[in-house]
Amino acid sequence: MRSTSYAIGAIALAAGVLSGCGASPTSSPHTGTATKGVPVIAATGSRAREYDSLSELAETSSALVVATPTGTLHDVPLPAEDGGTDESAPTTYVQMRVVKVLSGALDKAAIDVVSPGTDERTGEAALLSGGPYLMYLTPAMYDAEKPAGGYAITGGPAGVYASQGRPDVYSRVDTLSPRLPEEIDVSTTTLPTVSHTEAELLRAGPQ
Amino acid sequence: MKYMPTHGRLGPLRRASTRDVRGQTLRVTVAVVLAGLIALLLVTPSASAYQLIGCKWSHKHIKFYVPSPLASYGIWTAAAGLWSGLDANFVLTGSSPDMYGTNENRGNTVAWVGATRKKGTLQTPPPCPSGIYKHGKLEVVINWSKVNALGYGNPKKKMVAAHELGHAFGLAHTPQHPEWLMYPSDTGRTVKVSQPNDKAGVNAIY
Repeated sequence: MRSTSYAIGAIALAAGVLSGCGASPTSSPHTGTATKGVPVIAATGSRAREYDSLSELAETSSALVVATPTGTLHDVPLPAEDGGTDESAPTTYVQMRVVKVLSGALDKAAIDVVSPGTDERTGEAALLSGGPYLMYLTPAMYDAEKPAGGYAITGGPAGVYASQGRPDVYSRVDTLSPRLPEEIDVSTTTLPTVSHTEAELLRAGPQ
Repeated sequence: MKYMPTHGRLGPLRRASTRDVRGQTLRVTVAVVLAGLIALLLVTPSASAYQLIGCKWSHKHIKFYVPSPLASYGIWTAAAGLWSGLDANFVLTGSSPDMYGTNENRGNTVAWVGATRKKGTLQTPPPCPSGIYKHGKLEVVINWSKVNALGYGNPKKKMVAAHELGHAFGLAHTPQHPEWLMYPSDTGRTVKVSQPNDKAGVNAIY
């Protein structure tokens, strides 16, 4: 009887201790904490690499820009020779107005950028709204020397930072790149130079 | 505790109360120690802390179809074999498949080299109402042009495929464990085949 009361007490106390511990160990890690102005992009699939520094992002980019969404998007079907079928999902592009080129070369006022996923806050294509965004860009391509049109963000969610309203300060979007800086203040940070051309990156193929 | 009036004397009753207090203190102490131990066991990440998506199949023999003309056919079949000998397995068949394997040249238009998704979408997670994957709605895919551009050989392509099949079983990423197959990125992962903890996760699900 006494041992039973020990066990009941212990279990009750343990339950009390655990009640403040948050998520169950079996919950999916694919969740992010919503921060005002910062898209929450569901992390799907397995990535080839992790980006640990802005230098790594700059090395595989042709431009670092600040851009604002125009609020328009369009889809491009995956070509049949790249595995596209009638059932295949298209690639979704969001249109951006280029505010400033911080490094590298980009001479267009408006660009189409591949949306890096779905923004869980809105259910819309990520980067369709909000911003401005600081983005490391590379020419979108299906394969080496096979441009898809427009630009992709280097590393998908890894290469985009979002403004939360403070001038010149951008916050990290990616929840799976913890070693990238949480914030970039472009007025005080010396950013690694983007030096590759679009032609060089297209030749190297998708990274 | 109940105190009785003793008319100024606390003889036998007082001795009994002291024993009660000591006994109760002991019980509380033991309960607290036990509670701490139980909480520690449940909270501390253990060596077998595989992560689960919360989705599974309703049966143990999962019918998996990869069209043989596809470049990735041999990779998928070999990767399915890396998960053999467990409480659930993949059965390669074109007859009423539960799930499909494919490859696409998505290049850098997606961040992934491999994905487990709802069939017909780019990267939407597969549906699993009430925690059960829907028959015929799950697809695993390799970003073929990207793995080739990055110089992946067959063992590394099989690793990507086996990782996605881990998701198809119901395993989630284990970002704290690069020594397990379900670690989320290829550069950080130190193994190419499923490890005992990955397999334990599958057996736990099924």
